[in-house]
Amino acid sequence: MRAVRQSPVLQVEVARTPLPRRLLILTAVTAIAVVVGLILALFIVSPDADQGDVQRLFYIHMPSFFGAFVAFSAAVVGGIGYLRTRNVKWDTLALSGIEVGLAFSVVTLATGSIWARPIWNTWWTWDPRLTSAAIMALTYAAYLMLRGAIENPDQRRRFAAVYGIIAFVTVIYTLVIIRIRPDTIHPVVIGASPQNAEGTFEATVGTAVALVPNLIIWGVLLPWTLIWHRIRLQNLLERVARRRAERD
Amino acid sequence: MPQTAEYLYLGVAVVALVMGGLVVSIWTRLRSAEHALHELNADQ
Repeated sequence: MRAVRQSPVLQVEVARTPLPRRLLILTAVTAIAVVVGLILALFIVSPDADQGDVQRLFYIHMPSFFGAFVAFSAAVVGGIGYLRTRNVKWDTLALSGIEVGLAFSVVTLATGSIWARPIWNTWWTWDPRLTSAAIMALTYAAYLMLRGAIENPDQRRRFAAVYGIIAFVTVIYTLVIIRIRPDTIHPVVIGASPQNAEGTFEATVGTAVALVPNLIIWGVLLPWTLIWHRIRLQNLLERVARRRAERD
Repeated sequence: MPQTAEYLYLGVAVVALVMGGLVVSIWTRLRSAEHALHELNADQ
């Protein structure tokens, strides 16, 4: 049964598209998990002795990068799927993945920059890791702008699929750069940090209490929930576009 | 231990702004599309 809402502005009844039960459950689970993850990161684990409370941002910074990785991976899957089948559902997956992944990238960049201010004594430095992460985010921001500039739907989807696949190179490069560029000052938490790394801290059992749940929440639950909602929105927008085309 | 809590608060606020912005953006566009669909249905 469809829920009906009275719009106070238009004074017309607007039927809401029903939220799938599985999405409703996933959304509720994710919302609770995000709150639990934040409580673990902000209140339960001890602050770092050398860095103080700002180190707690790490429990969002690193997991949000993995969230971006997952979302951009979905765009690659969507791109390949669309090029193989020309089915619009794959293009929808790719678009949704990129929009969600871009938000996660901005979170990664912002939390890293804010952490760097007291630890590195600067908001930003053109370190290889920071530069590659910024290029990655800009590459995907350009995807959304370029996509919006192509009017022909088939051409737009084909272009977007190819761009989304190629753009993933920036994600891989950002992921591995701290292990292949010895001049980076960005610390590595899992494994040995580069020689020049500044602001390193030891990954102990205590940090794992907040890190592991937040990796699952920000790296799996939150991106997939948001991607699903974004897919639902895109399906509705496609429906509106089809109806408008039929009317005209 | 250095006092860096204000940067933590700033970071959490920015995260809330970005993720909240995405959620609100999806929700408002969804509502807008529902309105548009309703109007198209009403026109028929």
